[in-house]
Amino acid sequence: MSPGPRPAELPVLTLRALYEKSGGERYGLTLQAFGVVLEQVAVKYVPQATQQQRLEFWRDLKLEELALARACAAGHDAAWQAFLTRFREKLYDIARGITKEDSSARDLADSLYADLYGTSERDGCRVSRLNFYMGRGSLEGWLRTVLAQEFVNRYRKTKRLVSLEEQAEEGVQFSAAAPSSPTSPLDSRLGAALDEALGQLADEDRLVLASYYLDDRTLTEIGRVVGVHESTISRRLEKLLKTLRKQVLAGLVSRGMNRGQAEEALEADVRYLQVDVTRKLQENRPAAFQQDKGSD
Amino acid sequence: MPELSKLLRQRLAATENGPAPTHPDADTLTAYVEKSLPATERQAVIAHLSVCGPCREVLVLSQPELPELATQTVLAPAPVSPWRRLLRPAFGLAASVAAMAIIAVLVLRLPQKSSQQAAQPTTSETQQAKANPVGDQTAAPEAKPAVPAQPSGAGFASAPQSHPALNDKDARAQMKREEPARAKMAATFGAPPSMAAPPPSAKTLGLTAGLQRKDFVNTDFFAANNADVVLDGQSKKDFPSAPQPQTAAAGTLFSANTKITGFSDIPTNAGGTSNVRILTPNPPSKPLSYKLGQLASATVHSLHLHTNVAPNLRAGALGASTMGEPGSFSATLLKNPNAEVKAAPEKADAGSLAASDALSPGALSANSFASRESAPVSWKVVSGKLIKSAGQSQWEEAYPGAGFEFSFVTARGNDVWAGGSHASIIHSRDAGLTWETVRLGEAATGTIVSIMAGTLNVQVKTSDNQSWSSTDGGKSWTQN
Repeated sequence: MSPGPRPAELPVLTLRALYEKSGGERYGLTLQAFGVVLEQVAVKYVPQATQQQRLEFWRDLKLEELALARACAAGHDAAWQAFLTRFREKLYDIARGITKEDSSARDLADSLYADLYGTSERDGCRVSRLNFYMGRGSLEGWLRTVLAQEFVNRYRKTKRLVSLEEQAEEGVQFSAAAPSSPTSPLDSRLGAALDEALGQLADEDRLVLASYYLDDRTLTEIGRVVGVHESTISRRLEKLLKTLRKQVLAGLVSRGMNRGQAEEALEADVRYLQVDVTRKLQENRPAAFQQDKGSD
Repeated sequence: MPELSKLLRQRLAATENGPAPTHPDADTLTAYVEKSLPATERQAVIAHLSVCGPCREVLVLSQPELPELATQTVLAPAPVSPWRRLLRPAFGLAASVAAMAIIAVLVLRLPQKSSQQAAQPTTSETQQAKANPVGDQTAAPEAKPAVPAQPSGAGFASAPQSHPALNDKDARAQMKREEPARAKMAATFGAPPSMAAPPPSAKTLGLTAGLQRKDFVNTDFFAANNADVVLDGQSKKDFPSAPQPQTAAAGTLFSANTKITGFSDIPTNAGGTSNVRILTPNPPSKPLSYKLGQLASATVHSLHLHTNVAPNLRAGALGASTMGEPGSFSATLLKNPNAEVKAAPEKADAGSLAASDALSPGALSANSFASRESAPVSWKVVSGKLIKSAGQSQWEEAYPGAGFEFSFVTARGNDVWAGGSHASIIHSRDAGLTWETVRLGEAATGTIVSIMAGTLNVQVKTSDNQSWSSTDGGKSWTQN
């Protein structure tokens, strides 16, 4: 296990209360093993916390699911029975929701299932991916995230192996030499002004902008990521653009332009940037995701 | 607007994934989605997401699918600016005044022009013409004070011709009022592409102005006024006269109306009195909709009475009679797992007419004409959750914390059956107020794909091609 588990430091009464709350006994997990797991989680996320802070942190964990996952990783049959009953079908459903296609969903779910069971060995012991579940979110949510990560990883791996024909079908253009966009002093001033304005944005505002303009997400999707209603996102986008425009204009004026020149620069410079933008978006936006969005 | 969008894309993309990012682990991302992260950690995750495309992808992909109810569209009324709201009554009044002024001018000018060639009418004649509109003066009574002077046919003919001019004027006024707003829109940065509204065209404005004027200026006033005159004359012939008081003696009924002499051979009843009193029109005391409702209600009621005296079907025949071929019902729902299941009206037996297609939905809904408060509960399964509505557009989860995902629901009146993963079934006899868990046999596996429930006979199918049936309302089960 991880270095430095100190179960002895945990008051026995508290540990037993948490253990009983987790129901680890029915999955075959011992009190001692559960204490090690709790210590491991605390060391990872709240290493500097006091004992009281740790206790509060542990109480907020999904203890029952943490015990189930770790008991599965330890190879207890009762835990596997419970896990399969609760998550076998769900795993396929989640994968289908991600891939939007049956066979690849089954492939994805089977692959994760093998990882969860632990097909590889280290020091003679099976290494189960469930050992990485820390109980901060629900086990189902964790499975969703892990499946999504696996899907994105797969795409990024296979993207390099896509044939030229397929790339051509996806719209990738193979020009002899990428035309270097003219980098006039106007460009640099405009870019610098916009970078400055973007740098002043709050992280959440930048997340909203990136989701909308780079990922082409809908307002609903952005709202779910940020945790607010889509109408709030709509209003926020509108406000952000107004603010950005003001700041860019002010930035251009501060860089030596008058108001009219600044307005003109904001409108005239696009034709130089269009080619780069298209290519940049092609690099950053997997076509598969765009197709998924289109089919929604 | 579009120019900054493109610039923005370019600069955002340039700063994406700048420094080698340390991605948050799956636990942290899950806790972020489930809003269980402390504020500091949440802020750190947001900061990472704002510059990490792959993590944003993961986050969006890992979100559970949206339930249908969350995507329900709420149609809001079209926004009306306060200025327009303020101007509406004044606008209508101004248009009315303008119309009357034009009519008055035409009325005053036309006789003057004609008098250049013909003899000049005396002042008293003009006043008389103004005082006596064309048509039956008694038929156009004081109830129409909006047109005080309708002196001649020329006045009526010229009135519609003045409308286009009025339209143009109104359209110009409308455009003038909207110009500041449009200028304001143009001055602003503009909305994102999906939110940008098309600019209003002059054509649209003209049309809108015309339509709005129609709302406040009764353009049909002239025609209606004229039609009233004609109709009133016809109405005496076409419509029955006011009901006459009925007298007890049959003879007096007909003595008043000499035209009905042809009814003299109408058969009399045993008492020797004629029964043609039904020909006398009843006073229209009730509105038509009320009568239609009563009629539909009576029809359905009589049909129910008819079904009650019909012989009861055997319990074993319920499945086939009410739900058709086994599997066909479920196949329909399987195509659309989110299909809404309205609770079928509960009847004395499953063979009632109301459960069949013999009656149109309109006729059946007329049954609830008198008691609209007893709206049927609708059931559906969305994203593995069992959801019910009580007739309104509000949906609520009917069985939270089930521990399994629902896949199927069927309902007959208050009798509701729902099933889901791991061959789990729940049953309610009171429209979801209380639930009981139904246990199939130990060998039951798979997800419930079909439940065909009669009064006692229940048949269940699972995704593992298992078929279970019960003949005691779900107390005991046998695998087929």
